[in-house]
Amino acid sequence: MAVIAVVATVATAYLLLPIAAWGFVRLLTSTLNGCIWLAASLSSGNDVWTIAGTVGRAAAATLVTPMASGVIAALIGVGAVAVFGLQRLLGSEEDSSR
Amino acid sequence: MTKTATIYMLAVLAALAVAGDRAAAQTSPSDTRALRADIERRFEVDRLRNGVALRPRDSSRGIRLIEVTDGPIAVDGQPATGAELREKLGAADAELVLRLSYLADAQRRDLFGVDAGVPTAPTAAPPPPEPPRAPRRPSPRFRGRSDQDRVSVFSGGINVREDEVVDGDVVAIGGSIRIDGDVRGDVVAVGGSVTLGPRASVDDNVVVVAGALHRDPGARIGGRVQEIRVGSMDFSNMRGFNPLWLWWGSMMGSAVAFVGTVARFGILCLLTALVVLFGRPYVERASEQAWNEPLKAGAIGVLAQILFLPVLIITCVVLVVTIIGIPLLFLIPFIILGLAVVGLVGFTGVAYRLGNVLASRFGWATDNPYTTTIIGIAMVLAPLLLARLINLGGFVMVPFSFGLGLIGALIEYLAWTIGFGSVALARFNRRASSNIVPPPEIVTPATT
Repeated sequence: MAVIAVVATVATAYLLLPIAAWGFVRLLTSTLNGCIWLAASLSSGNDVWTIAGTVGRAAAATLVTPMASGVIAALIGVGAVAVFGLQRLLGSEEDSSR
Repeated sequence: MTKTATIYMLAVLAALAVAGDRAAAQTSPSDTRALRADIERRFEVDRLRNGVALRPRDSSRGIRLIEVTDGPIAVDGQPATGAELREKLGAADAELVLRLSYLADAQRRDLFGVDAGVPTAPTAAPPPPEPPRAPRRPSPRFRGRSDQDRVSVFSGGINVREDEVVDGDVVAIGGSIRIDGDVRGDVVAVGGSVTLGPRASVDDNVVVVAGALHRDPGARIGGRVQEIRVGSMDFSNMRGFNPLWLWWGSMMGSAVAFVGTVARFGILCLLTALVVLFGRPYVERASEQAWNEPLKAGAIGVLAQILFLPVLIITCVVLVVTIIGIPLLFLIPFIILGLAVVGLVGFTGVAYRLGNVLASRFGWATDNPYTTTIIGIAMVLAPLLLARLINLGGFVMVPFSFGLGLIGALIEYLAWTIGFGSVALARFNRRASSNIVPPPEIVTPATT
């Protein structure tokens, strides 16, 4: 059992590390791009609501891609499972207190 | 709990950064024809692969070349902000360049494209065709072309020779990169330097993290350059290391980690003392719950952690998409701070209970709740502190300390998780008990 657990951990790390490295580099470049764009927009005199509108439209455009929709759907699934578990645990606690 | 909150804050930053990244490509021009005419009146325009190069017709300001690509605007090869542009070019010309930079990449290409249907100003000469490169002698090692990415992780550097073409990315972690040939993708070095020779050509971005970029003036970069410096870190000379130096380095690193853990212990003592001072009833309730139902409290803590990330990301996305909710994003750090405080109350409860158990076990007379809590914290952090202490012996001690450190980290995680869950349990218990309707009082008639 312990051997299986160790092998599973190593395999998971082996699979997830490249994704994590890719995500880290992507996070860095995206953060830099976002900051540069924000600074350029502010320095060119755009008002806050114009910038917010552009960010909102860009976020909406990102969300309609299959990958982003999939990630959001997965997050909702995970959240729903967690809420169900919490409801079971805390609900039973509430019942037992009555 | 605070560590988890930090990680999740990074996730929010990432979501915002992606939105900002996309936003850069969505600014639409008001009048592209007028913009093109204005630009061509003031600049000579050359098309680049991913943008345009502008040469001011008025050379009195000493500016030779402005590159407007999908990255930052570069003036004579140096990135420039809006304010710097105004200073270097004057307000009118800078405004034109900035308006051009707000166009999406495709729009910018179309604006100066041959098939744009816009008459070209008579002064704008078409860019001269790029002279064909001399045929290259095939490299004896790489046979001139490699169709895959070149990746090196702590295994020395990467050298792309002059007669080599890499149809992919070149990535080195803990090593340096030298490019003399062509790279069709990105060049990324983490903890190493990037050197671009005179005939180097990189089609996409060059990213250097914790290293230096040495660029020959003749080198061509199609994308943008991003240098992220972290002090003077450079791990590019990993091959010729000295074991004694490594030992000394590991000892110094362990000493820093030990001091950090001791400092964390001190900070935790201070914070928990504050919690005991201002919220002792909460601490005692959480302590009772953690002691009576540790498994249930732990399960609630884990589920709350799992729920936190989806709720945070979906909330951020909804706020950003509705646009009007974007200012509300500033409330999110306060919500995270509130959750951290809840976690701290729970952790204090667990430490308080552990301190009580330990004191009664050894027969110490400690009525002081502060002392009891500090004893509990010391108990929780003891394995980690011990592991850090063993590590002071250098990297040879790692086999002995690794398992202990792992156990210490697990114990601390459990303390925080059970603490968080116990606060939730205590809260629900209290709410449930307040909902209970007291039975009617039976009034017995007085007997005479």
